Amino acid sequence: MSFEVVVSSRLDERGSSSWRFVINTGLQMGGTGLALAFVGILTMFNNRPIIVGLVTLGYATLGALFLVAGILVGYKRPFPQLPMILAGGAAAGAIAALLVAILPLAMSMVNLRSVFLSLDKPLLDMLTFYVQPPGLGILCLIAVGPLLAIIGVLIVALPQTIRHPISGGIIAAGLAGLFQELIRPILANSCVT
Amino acid sequence: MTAPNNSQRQQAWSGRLGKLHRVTFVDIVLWTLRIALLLLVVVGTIATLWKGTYDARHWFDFFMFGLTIGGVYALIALGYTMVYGVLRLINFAHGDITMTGAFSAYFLARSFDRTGFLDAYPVTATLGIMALSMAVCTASALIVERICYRPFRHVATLAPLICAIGASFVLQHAFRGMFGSNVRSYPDPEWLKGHVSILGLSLPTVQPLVILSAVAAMIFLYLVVQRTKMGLAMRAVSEDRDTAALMGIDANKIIIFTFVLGACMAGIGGVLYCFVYKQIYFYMGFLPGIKAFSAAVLGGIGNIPGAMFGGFFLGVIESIGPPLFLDGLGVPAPYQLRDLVAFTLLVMVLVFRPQGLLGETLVKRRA
Amino acid sequence: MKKCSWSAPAIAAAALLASVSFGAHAETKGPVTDELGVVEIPKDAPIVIGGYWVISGPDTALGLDSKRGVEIAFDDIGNQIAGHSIQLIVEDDGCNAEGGQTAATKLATVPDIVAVLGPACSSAATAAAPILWKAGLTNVGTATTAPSLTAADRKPDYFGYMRTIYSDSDQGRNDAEWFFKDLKCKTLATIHDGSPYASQLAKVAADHFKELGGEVVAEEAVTPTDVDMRPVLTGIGTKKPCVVYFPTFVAATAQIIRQAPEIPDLKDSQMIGGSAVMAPGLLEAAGDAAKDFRITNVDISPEVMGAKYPEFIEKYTKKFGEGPINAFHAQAYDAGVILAKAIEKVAKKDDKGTTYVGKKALHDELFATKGYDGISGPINCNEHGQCGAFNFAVYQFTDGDPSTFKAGENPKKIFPTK
Repeated sequence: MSFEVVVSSRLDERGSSSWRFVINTGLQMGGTGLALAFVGILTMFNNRPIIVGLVTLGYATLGALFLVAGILVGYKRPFPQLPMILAGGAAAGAIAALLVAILPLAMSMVNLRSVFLSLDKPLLDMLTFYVQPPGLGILCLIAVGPLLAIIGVLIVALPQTIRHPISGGIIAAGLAGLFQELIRPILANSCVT
Repeated sequence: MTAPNNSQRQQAWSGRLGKLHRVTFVDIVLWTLRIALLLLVVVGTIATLWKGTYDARHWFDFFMFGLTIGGVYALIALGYTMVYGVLRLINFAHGDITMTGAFSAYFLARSFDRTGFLDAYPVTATLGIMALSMAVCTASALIVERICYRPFRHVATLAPLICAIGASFVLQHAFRGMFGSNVRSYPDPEWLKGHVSILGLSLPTVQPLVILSAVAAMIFLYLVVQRTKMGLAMRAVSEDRDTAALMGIDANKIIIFTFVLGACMAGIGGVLYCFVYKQIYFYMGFLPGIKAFSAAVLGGIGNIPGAMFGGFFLGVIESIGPPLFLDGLGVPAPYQLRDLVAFTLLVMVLVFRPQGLLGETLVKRRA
Repeated sequence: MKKCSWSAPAIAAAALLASVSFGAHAETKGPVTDELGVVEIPKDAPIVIGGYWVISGPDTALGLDSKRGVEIAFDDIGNQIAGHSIQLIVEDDGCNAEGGQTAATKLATVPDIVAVLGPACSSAATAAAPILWKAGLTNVGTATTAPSLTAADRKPDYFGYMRTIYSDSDQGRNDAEWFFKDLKCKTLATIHDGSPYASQLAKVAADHFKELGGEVVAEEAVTPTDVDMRPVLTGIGTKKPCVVYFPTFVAATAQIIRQAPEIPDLKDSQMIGGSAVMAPGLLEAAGDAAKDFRITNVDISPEVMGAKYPEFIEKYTKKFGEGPINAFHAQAYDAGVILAKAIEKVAKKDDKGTTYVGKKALHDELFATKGYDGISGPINCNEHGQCGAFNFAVYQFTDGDPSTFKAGENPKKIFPTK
């Protein structure tokens, strides 16, 4: 008789259905986004531009969350065909975006700043993409989520020869933007440039 | 049964001789340390009592305050000890879990105070505040369990410990980000101010309130653990997880139940701590957490009555110790060394009795 | 595919980094020669001024108030110095030495920074001023009152430090006189928190009290983050002092005034706090225990301040939506103004429109400020950098609700009464 079968504490690996995984991923990424917003990291990051006038670190982080949702679905491949995987990724991104969108919705109705210090106007503006009225901005947010997630799935689905240069380029641009204040004085003071 | 003959007697003797080992340098150092500390304590105590800076009323005040803060430590220590019993792991995030509950309950307490509810219905309001604190503590405890302990359930590494320390920092700074680094104060209701007279002795109202609430919570916990089925299952899982599974107990559910119980105790303890010290800020959970952990180890980790006793004991020593031991030796500002006294006591007790004062409940005999 | 070696580019980057030099040394740029270095500001570039205050934590109001005073000063001169716009880079020093050190290191490495304003806490300034002076930067203090910073026997590291605020040697003496003469107390106990500000102020007060003929029965210390004040209060209580003076910061002060009523021995002692807690943060941390609590401070009532003070209050309220949240905004305003004036005087332009500012010249010009009628009072700098004047006052909190905080009303001035 095999004792391994009997030990129930090892039997928590329940086979999760594919859609369950997609929903879980979406919830986790959305939850992370909410946590980052509550703690004030998104606002702080938003003050830091990566590409001046276009992308700030705050938007990059938010976008990265949706992208990662798509990437996770792409890696796990819960469905056999690509179109279904894309749909799954879009669903995960949509769930994540919906979860994050609850925050600007709540903030535009109730002033939460007396309790949570970070939920102030700059955060609301950031989450609604500076679009007035806020409702339209929230819809933009909900639309951006699945879009970025689909891109995430595609990134994983593409062959390596295409994926490497693209992802390498994006990461390099991001890093250069992040450390621009460190790079600038070096370039300015060196004899080479 | 035959009478022990010569060869058996010889075996017994050589067995006993075998237990005597050579006295090494380390033994000498340890014994010198023990004797030196003991001398310090005795000489200091005699000198203080001789000097007479504090009279009986002061000592009584110190003692009662020690019991008060000891009650809080005991409640928090229960969380550590129960989780250790079931998981054999120290939940280092427990102190900060306490902080999360106390912090969240602050907002409720403030709004009760502003509407006058706190002054009008003290019991209901306090129970409401404690309920919210317990709920938030439970939520954060379950999140910590899910992320830091469950993935490492079957591997014997230090990863869950380090994960818990990380969770502790994450909780602290998440609350700092959410609520700011300002120090805030719990409201000061009328019924908490002033003194109350019990058995002819005058005590600040907050002290008997905290002590009695702590004792009530502990009695409740003891009943749950000893008299209910879930408590029985918890004790079974802490004794032997695999055999308990053979008996049909789902270890997951029991572990969650343990965390919930520990978090509830921590929730109550957090609110009581705030009634005593009134100031909350994001870092407040760290030191009580460490002291409660020491109290749990002092009483015997894994032992619930041990944690209760350890908590009270540590509180009293922390309060009475510095003035008693150090004031007589002429140490200026002995209260600054309060933490030193508390932790030295922990180390000394463990050196003399490694399994804690009331001993670990490890299984003594197996079939 | 061959793997790239990372060592060559890394070494090259490190070499480039090393070629950037910091620190003060004599140089000539354009028409200016200066022994501590010359800051070159191209035609349309901003003038970079640094600032470091405590802008987070329980003492936020202290630093934020000063920062706002400086911002209003710059607004008043049109945000322009010598034809360049002003860029104020602010760092947070957390009101402790480590924070001051970090802030100073960051500011000292900012390229083309001209001078530094702040901080609000003497602990931060004590750590930061030497670092800034090493880079040739003059540091104009806005709320740091520790006597050692502008004492006659201060070390050469601090020669770059000056302040528009008074020195605690004045505050401490006046405190002791008030205790002895007005409160008619013969016994004093002090509690400080180990910071340069509190420990030096308590010492000055205690020493002068002894000179006046009083007796100092206890001089105790706590840590700024202590929660349990009973042992120290019980110990002081056994000596039954007439007045207990604790010039500690918000968190410790709040704990003391909360726990003092529980010590029966201190029933008849008067608990007096210091100037660092004139902030809404104290009401937040202490609640109702702050009602009727008295603190000694500098006088910031409009009658005593400079003529332009009421105007300043109006501008402050308009810009920030609330009245001043601490006591040292006026000194910060004056610091901003004299810095701007000094830069204007010392800056030299060449024909391309580039401005050059010599650091030593700026330092000397600042230290020579005399007879300036600031909104905090007359500003006259001596050779040790002490520029601020001092008027003593005692304030009392009237209400424990943080939303009722208004400097001058809650707490209101109770001494001097004319």
